[in-house]
Amino acid sequence: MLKKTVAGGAIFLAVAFGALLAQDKGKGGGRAPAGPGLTLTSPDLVDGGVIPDKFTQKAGPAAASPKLEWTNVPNGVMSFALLLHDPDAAPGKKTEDVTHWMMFNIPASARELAAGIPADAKLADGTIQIKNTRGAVGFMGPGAGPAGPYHHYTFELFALDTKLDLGPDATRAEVMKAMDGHVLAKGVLEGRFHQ
Amino acid sequence: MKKKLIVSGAVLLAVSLGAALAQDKGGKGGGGGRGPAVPGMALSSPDFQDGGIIPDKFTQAAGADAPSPKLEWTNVPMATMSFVLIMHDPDNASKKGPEDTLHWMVFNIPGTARGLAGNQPLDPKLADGSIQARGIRVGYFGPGNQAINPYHHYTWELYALDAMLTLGPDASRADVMGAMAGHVVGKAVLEARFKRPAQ
Repeated sequence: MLKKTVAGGAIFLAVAFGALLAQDKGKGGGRAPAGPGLTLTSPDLVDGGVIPDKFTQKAGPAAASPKLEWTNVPNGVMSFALLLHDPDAAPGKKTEDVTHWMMFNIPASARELAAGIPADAKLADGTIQIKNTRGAVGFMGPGAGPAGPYHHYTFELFALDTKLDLGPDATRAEVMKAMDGHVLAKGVLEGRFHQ
Repeated sequence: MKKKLIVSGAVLLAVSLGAALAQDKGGKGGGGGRGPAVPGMALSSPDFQDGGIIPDKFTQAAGADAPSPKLEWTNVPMATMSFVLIMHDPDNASKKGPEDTLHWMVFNIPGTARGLAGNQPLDPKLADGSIQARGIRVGYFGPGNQAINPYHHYTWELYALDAMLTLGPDASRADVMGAMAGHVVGKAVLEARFKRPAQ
């Protein structure tokens, strides 16, 4: 009986340790992670590079969103959320930067977003798009002025263990709050631009 | 008399239009701002390229006490009284929350500063009055992303403020963000990637 308890304890310990390692994997300081973290890429732009004009306001206010792809999705994902923001700007002297695009309830089975996502609050697959800083639904292309410097447009993909109970009127702050405690992993892609 | 009123109205209009343009330059930019005449605040480092790869010597690959890189900034807005520097890793989600990993936070950097020397000491209070709050620890903690992962996107954000913050070294990131609200007169970002070399 004692032996069985010890064995059970050891198994429990091993499982708990495994869970710890798995969680650490996503973080910075983790040692010997099991697999690579969630990875966000685009065939349309190079990570760390300059975003091509065709996906920016240089191509007009209705420029197409770039195609996005992701891999290394963790187990337990129920939905994804995507945020594109420009950290170089502080409108209204506030600390919240510019929201260029935000969508949530992207199906867990998705591994990409096609280029040129329509500017609709609700997409065919159930994804919800909220308003960007300009007050329009959907993608707002990068628009930093020609005097520079480069702005750092950052695509952040959140893998969530839940779907969000929010509608298209939700604000960025509300989406961030609803995600709290549900972020299993993150993937980031960053491209620079000025006109 | 009426003529004088109209003239001063026109002057007022011109001044406020100028102010609106000036705000667009530093603050917005990313929004819809068209053709600002003056460049916004710019943050750079002689130690690595914006959008490039951070050299190992400034990362945990060189040990836990790797030095901070040298930072420089230009095009500082007129009203600046102090700066806040936040370095974070947006690729991480600590405790399943939306807040990412804070690698370094310094506030009350004097408004006259135009850079930070490399290898900043790990003290909560620096000689010039700057305060280093606790991120992973007090002071700079280098990038540590594992070799197996995709590159992480370490982001240095410099805020120019029209105020000093009345906070001490125990302030949290949320405290600092809260205290800055309404005071950000300029912002600049430097971003570079890192993962550890394969073993």
